Amino acid sequence: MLQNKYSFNQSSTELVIFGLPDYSNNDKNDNISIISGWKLSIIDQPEIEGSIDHLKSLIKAFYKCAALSLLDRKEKIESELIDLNLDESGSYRITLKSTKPNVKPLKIKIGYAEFSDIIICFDQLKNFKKIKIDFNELKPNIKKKSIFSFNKNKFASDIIPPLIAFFTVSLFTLIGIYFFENKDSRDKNISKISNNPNIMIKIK
Amino acid sequence: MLLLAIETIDLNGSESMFAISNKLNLQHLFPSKVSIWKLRSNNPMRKSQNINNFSNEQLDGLIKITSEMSKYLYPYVRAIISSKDNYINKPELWNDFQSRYIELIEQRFNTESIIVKNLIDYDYSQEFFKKILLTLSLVSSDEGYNRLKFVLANL
Repeated sequence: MLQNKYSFNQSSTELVIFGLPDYSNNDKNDNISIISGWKLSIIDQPEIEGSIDHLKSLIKAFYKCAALSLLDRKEKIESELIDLNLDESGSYRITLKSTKPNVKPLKIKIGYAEFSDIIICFDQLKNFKKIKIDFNELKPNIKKKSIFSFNKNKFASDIIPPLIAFFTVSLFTLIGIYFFENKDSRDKNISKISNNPNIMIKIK
Repeated sequence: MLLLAIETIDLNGSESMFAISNKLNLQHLFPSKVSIWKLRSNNPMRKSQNINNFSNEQLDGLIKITSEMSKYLYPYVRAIISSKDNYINKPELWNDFQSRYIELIEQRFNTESIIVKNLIDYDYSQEFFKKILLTLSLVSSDEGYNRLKFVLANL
């Protein structure tokens, strides 16, 4: 039986899927229901390949990371087979863990451009009718933000500056009140003295 | 902001958006260019903000137009992101994009607002602009419409 092979390309990335039709599922000859292998090539990066479980983990992690990036949320994506995180320099760091013993994890660093190319390749695969993968189980599970959720960074940037401003204004106001009150009482003392007919103030 | 980024890349953006809306058979929602403009002018950051009532269907149409436009512009969007990722060697595209985007923001938005002031600050706005481009690139596939809708529903 001949293996079917389909490839999906986008700029720097190529995803190739190999597999066989499942005739018990009434598949046609050119369908793939049983994925026997896959390969993801990114320019200037080592080739990635693995089992169907690896592919599913990869797609799930990338879809979740895309959703989090779009929502501007920072969450670590870690699983048995893949870690995927956005670092401070704005690059995505991928750690692929092998199921084989004594194989070191493969670490890859990609930019936004390559990241979006990979996502588009996965989208092409998702919409390709001849390859049957259940994408429902790969949907990103993103929890809705609670209204009461506490965001440290937002607190620091939104609440602390007005509070500092408020305390600074209050402090200066109090100093001002104290200063002018003292001045007023001094002026009152002077007027009392000058109102006294027995005291003469000489003004040059 | 996404539509303004599209206009930054496509100099004839408003014409293209209208052409795309016709291509997507959205004439009943956007019979003229003005109807798209009216919807866009609901943005509170605009100099001349007009609060117009709009239906969910119109909002949905605007999401479709954004996703479809980004499909056409993907090669350019990607090139600008690459220029930013590789800024030391190829700064030109990013610089052009940033300066034109800021120019458009200054023309259309209320520059007295603190948010807009931050947007037109060359250093402060870089990360935000990069995120806008990433959003455009991630909504440029066939899944783009669903993705953008999911994001807007979860903001």
